[in-house]
Amino acid sequence: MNFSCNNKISNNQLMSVIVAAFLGCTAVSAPLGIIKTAGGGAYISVFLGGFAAAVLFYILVRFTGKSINDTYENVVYNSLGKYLGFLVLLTVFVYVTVYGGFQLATTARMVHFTMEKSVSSLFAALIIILVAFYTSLRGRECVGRISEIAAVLMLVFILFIFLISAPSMDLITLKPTPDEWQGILKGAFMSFCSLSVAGYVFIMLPNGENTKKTAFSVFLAFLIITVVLSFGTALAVSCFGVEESKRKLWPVIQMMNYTEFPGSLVERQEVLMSGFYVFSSFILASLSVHISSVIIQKVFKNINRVFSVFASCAFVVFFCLVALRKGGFEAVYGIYGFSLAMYAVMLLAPIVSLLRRKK
Amino acid sequence: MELYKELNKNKEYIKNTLYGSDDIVFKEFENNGTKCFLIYADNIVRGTTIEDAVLTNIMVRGEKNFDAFQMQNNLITVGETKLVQSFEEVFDAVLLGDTVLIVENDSRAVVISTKGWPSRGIPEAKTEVVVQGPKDAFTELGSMNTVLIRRRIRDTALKVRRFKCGRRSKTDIAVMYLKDVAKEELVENIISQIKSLDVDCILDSGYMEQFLEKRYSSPFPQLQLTERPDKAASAIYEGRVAVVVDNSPFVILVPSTLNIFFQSAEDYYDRWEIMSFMRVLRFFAAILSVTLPGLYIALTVYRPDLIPTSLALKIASGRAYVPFPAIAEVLIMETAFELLREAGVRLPSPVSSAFGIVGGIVIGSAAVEAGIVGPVVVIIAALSGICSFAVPNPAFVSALRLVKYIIIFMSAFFGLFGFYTSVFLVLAHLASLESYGVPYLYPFCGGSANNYTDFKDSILRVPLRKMRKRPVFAKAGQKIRMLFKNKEGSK
Repeated sequence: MNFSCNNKISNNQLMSVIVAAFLGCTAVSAPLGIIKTAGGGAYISVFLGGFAAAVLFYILVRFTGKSINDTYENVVYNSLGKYLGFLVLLTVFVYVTVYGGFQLATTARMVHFTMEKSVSSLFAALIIILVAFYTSLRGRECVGRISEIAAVLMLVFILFIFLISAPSMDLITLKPTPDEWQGILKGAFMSFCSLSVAGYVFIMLPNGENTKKTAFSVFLAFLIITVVLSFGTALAVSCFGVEESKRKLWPVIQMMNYTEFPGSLVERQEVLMSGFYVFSSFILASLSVHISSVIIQKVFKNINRVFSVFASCAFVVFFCLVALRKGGFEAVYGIYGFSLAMYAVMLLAPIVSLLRRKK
Repeated sequence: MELYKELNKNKEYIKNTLYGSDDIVFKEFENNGTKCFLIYADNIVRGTTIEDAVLTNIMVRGEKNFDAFQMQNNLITVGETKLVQSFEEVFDAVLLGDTVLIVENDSRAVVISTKGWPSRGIPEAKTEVVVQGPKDAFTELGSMNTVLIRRRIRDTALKVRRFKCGRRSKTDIAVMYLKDVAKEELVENIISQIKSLDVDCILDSGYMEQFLEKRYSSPFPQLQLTERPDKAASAIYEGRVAVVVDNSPFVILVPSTLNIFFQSAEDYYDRWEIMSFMRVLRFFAAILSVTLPGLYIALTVYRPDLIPTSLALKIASGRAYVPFPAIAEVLIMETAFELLREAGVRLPSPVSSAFGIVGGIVIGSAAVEAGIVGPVVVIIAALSGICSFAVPNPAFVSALRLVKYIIIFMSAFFGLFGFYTSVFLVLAHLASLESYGVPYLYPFCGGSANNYTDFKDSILRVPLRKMRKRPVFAKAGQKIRMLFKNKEGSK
């Protein structure tokens, strides 16, 4: 492996990026809506939807890998031409900045309400984006490297919590009733939508790597998120009960507060847990800024790297402000349709590229 | 500029150039009628060599009309001699401690190796002390340092490439590596960096370290300095490159990662179980030394509700009569600790340890009794200081000390969010660093590059028998470093 190549990441780093960036965000935004829809069987919804997303990504990455032997943004321009390519990249840019901005707003609100009342949501968002500016300026591999460490730390901590919490789970609450199955399927679709982040995954694909391994890394990443989320949702429902869970803002995070840590030096563990969530948000913000800056640089060829990153930060902050005005957390739901549409947009270039090659 | 054939012209030019340098000795004599001119610098040459191997031989055994070449080969009984033709080479040789002989009617001069630099012998390691293992350390004599390394690597593949660096200091630099193990592009990269330096002087390896570092604005060292020949030799065996700088008792090892700064030479001389435990302790200590004061501020000032009630009450009662905010408390104690450390370095070693202990206890207890700081802060500052000493590399410890203040201020301003932000920022900075192409956080990041084998020598140190492969620094075809032929050994 050539370490000095800072414009692509390894398969393992790709897996870590996905886990570190999306585990925290989905842990906050997804379970509540799914519990509201699916009730006690929400964990089944999370698993079904997540697993479907993991399988779909496996298939798509294997398929696109055949046609992508360059960076995704180059493939788009080479296969779709200047104008259509521009439109596709513009759509990806809008999606990434909107998604990044909305998630940033959610994090900022959570920092304000759960972690530090004295820090306003807007200020928290600005601090996070400043850090994202620094990180994304340092390149794709920098984001990948941080994710490698953050993902391991997060998973070890989560595993620890699960091991402690699992014995006290009330399995009767988790047993779905026959009339809940329709809700569970609806919830599964929501879960699938919340993990439909094609705009991020395709741009970060390590071109030139073994497609099978890359696809497996992506599959594993989504499977890890799915299992953790599913278990977290089950724990939250078992801890609060279905009705109480629906009233909580962040059931999975708030559930930590009721976990008894042996010999713990800290009370109210959910605040510490939200630290990992903040870490996850830093990575997602860095990723959003990096991807959008890459697109800016591709579209406006002679643009300075610092300026492109700065402009990306400005767009992410703008959408964050929009989401904060709308209420932040709820705004994320509104873009699920957009997330699904991104599959079609993202696949356009690889399909055309593959067809041309066959001809 | 080329030497003249006429001795008088050469004499005049050399004397004019070296005018005012009273430590340079010019000696004129005749060899059976042939005029000779000897130049050397006083006190940095071995006088007996000049008398016995040069002057006596030429004056007693010399024959008429011997030129420089004949004198070099037939009269001078010193192993290392060479013919030079320019004044620059003459001056370089004289200032390096060699003796130059110029003969009449010859435009060449004989450079005779008579270096006799004052040296303090091989000392004991002071900054990288070990209980078990060799005690010798590098000296200020670059040539001696290369010998100390070569003594440990008796392999023809060990190459020593010598250069001069510094426009005025003309410091000797030696680049040492195993030709078949070190990556060529790494060696060439280092050499080209050294050659491209156009500076007045290189007074210490610290100069060279800063010039060779790519991200010089970072507080974290990206190259490793060691005073231990065994550590340098071990690094060379792994495919890294050692840069020996004359006049410095520290050798630079390239590339270096964060993981390497937690390794001590002793780790490999003792049993793996205890040394793995020590490694874990060092990492834990480093994290604690950086985060503890910041976390204290974030929790006591912003989120006392996170601290268990009994502990929170204890902290509050200790702080009841303290007139300063928590940040001032922490800064007072941290500054006192830094001052003690700085003053301790300047004091003679027998006094400094007593001074550190007495100063720490006296200042700490006096500050608590006077109600300037709470007792918990004294514990935090002391613990943070002690933890930083557990890391074996002083340069890395200095970086940790700086980073600690960033975390303290961020925590003071933004509470737990500031704490998390600063920790992430430090992590992002570390992730962005590279040392000659190797990620600074390797093997914790990018470990797949060497199939994760380098984890065997990271937080834990596995048994030596299990460390069969060389780290990522070595060439692709040179990964295996030990093979066990019998069945027992392979288990």
